[in-house]
Amino acid sequence: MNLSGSIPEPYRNRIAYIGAGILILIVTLYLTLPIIALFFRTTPDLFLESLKNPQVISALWLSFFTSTISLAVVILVGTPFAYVHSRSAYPGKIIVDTLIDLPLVLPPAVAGFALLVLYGRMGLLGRYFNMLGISIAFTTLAVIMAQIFVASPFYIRQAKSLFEQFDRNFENTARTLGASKVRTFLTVTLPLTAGGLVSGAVMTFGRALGEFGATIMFAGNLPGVTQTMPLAVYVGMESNFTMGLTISILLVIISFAIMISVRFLLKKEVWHA
Amino acid sequence: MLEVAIRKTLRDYMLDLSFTARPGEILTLMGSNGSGKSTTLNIIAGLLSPDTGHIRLNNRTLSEPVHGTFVPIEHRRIGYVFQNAAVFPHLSVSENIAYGLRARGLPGKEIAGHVARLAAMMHLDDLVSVRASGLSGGQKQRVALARAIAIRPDLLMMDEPYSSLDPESTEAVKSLTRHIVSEMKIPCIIVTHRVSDSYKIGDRVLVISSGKKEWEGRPCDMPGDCSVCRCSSGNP
Repeated sequence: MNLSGSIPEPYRNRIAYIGAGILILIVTLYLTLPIIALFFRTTPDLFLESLKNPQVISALWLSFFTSTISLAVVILVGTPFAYVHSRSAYPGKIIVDTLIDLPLVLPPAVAGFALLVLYGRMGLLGRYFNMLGISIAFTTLAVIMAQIFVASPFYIRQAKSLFEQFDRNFENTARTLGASKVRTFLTVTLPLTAGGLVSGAVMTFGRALGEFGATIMFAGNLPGVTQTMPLAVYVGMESNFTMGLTISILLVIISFAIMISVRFLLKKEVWHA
Repeated sequence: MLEVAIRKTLRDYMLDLSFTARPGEILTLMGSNGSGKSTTLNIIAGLLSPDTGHIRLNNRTLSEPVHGTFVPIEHRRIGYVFQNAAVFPHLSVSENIAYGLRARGLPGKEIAGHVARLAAMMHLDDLVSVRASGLSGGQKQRVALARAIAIRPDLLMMDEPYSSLDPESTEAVKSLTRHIVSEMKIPCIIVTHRVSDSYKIGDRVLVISSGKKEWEGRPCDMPGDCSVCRCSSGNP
């Protein structure tokens, strides 16, 4: 029996529109209602008052400090790595590709646990650092290392893909004109991939800022030392609901700003000749 | 004088070519897609290395694997206009033309003088401060040509320079190319797959197929209609 054939054309179109509308509404509401609920649980006065809480200020400052350092390390090491990796063929390249992406799917708690097993006081490398009087686990350095571990694939993946897609004729032209490899990279490749690289960097910063699982496992939850914003939210849920709510709202606002900037920056990603 | 005698094993065939190009001469390199035309230019430019043979430009050996000679790309003094011009879209027209001069560390005043002269020669005077991303195909091709000759190359190479141009721009670029090659007295290789280009601009034609020389001679000796040929118009 052909049901669609028995419904007149105008009604079929209307049903399709209503169906599509309901689907869009359900998905959008499911993803945004919990976020909207956060804003309904506080008032502007309470929010602003809570922003003065020293624990909020400390978590905010620590999060931005560690995320900025993490981002700088990822950009400084990740950019040349992605360039060299995308431009060279070597045995095991596919394996390296997979290993780099691993932190994207690895549960953050496992990442934190793995970092602890390696760099902890009795860890494989940590014991030697410890002999030199260097303690990594449960310090601000551990926060940064955890953030780099979980967030770097966001930047490296983006950079690799940009360099792979990049029109090599631009670089070849610069070389025939007398530019060295470094000059070509700095004056041609980098400016022409900057939009995409910055969007990768913004995503990396956002992931580092929101990092929780690996940090709590490897760095602990010490206010002023390792307690970043997501960790303060966790504490707030147990003992100071208003503080948790305030930091959550701050993180929502920052995440939204990040997504908007990424959408804007991705518009001008790769140039073609 | 350019002297080329190269062999290189490619995926589907062996590239095996010998030819010369004299100062002031335009050699058109013809052949179907995948016949090895662009690869030949890339080997001469130093983007690829030949397996055996040699490339000499004005008696200077650029590549000769048997003696381990390989002059780096940036030191070959070859003006290479790639397919689709590859004009740097983030730079202005003047910055594009100045790129090679800056890379050579010329003083700013000298660069400005060269850029102004070349922009005038290429009829780009009104566009010097325009960002290259906003140029038409013909304008981009002229910028690429100006940029390539700004470094005073010993050889000019152009890969399919007319493929994306309208007839008017094609004629303009051809006439500029002819003027430059005669003025600078340098050899020039133009890769094309259109017979009409060889007739109109080439002094000599080299037809290749699967990396081997199939035919070489004056355009007017090519099989087919050569009523528009340069040599028949008394301008060899």
